[in-house]
Amino acid sequence: MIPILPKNGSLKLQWALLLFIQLGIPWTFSCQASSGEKNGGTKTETQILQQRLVELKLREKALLQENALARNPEPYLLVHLSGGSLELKAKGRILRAFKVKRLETNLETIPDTAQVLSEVKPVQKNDRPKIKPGDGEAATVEAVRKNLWGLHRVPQDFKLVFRNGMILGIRALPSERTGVAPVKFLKNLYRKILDRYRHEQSSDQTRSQIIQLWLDENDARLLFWSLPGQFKILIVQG
Amino acid sequence: MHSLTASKQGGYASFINRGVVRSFFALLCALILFAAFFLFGKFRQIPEETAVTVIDPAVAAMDIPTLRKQIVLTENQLRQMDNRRERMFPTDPAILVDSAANQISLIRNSRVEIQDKCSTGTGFELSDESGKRTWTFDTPRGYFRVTGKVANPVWIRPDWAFIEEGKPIPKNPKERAQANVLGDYAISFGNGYFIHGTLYTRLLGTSVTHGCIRVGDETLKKIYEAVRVGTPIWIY
Repeated sequence: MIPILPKNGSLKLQWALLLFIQLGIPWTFSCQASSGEKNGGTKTETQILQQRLVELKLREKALLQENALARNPEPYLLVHLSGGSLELKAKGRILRAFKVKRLETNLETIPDTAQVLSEVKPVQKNDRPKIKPGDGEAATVEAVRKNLWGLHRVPQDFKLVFRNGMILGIRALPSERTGVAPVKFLKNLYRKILDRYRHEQSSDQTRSQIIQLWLDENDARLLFWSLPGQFKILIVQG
Repeated sequence: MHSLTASKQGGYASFINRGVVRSFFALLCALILFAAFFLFGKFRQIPEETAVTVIDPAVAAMDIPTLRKQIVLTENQLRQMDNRRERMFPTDPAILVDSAANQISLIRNSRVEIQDKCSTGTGFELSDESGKRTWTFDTPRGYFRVTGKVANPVWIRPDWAFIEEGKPIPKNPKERAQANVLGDYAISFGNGYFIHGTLYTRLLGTSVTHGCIRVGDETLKKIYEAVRVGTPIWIY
């Protein structure tokens, strides 16, 4: 006998499956990740103090390096691994700050000295609007009104290549304002798979030392927009 | 209980079947994608507590009173270093230009003294008829210094200004001069870029320039009076 469900029964089933995909799988992975921590047991006062001192020493090391960079007026980029943040700074003042949503690397040890930028390589080229000779300034103003260039058109996925060969990849994830949760989830998945595909296709994948930061798509574009021609980057753990 | 006819039952059943098949297909696709993602991914995610997992042997050998003393000492040093870094930003006037928001600020003693709309570069490209010369109308990003200050500036029109208008490039330099288009003041910061006034005040806050930074008359006057040659400018 065929069970007869209410008309929206199948819809509920679809939602349940989507919820399973969205919540169940990440939950499984998070359980795997956190199970190791719980087995460690409670910490003694000595361990807590040791950990605090190690944290402070790391912070001290990071500040020493940053202060050395901040002596020069050129802007620099500061990546906080533990804090999950990225800051564009000059003379110690934050010009722009971004939240890192996800951080990946194929490096065994993260370099803890300032790196010098060699070039910025967009993953996809975004063509700029062209003005024809004789169009005049009025045409330019008209083109600006049509919003042909701006933050929304600059690359959201790009590589910062440093002189020592290290690559800091910036990748975009859907912004917080992206529609409902399933749409955002699918966009997330698409971007990550696309990135994996690009990584597999790229010729320099084996020899490059890559740190990859995933930012909100608006942040990724804003970072690209704001980058000076030359700057240094400091990656700190504290 | 149900008073549905056979044909209606059949309709519902096929509707349910389609829904279930679609859902399972979606689930299958999602699982395959996940598997591909995790199988082929060569990156590792950095654990959150990487920084605190390794304890230095010197720290490991310390007893509780020494640890406490060291913590207080290091905290004080960090405070001093933080203060030192904060003092690195100049107390004299400095200009910050947010080219994404088209906003200019004058900072003095680490405080925003003036903040107003401005206009920065369009980012458009112009090529001459032969295609040999190309200009990109971007406002440069990075660190600059005020290299000069001029009251009642006269614009010496560069080649692109003539090409854009479709006019021949004059051979006589005097024909390039154009007065009353840069406002009352111009502050140069190198490579032909200026912070200057504008006739198009209604366009302030949008990216419409050829790379220079246009500012409204009142703000321009205040900035002009506050800065001197050597004043730092950060454009981001």
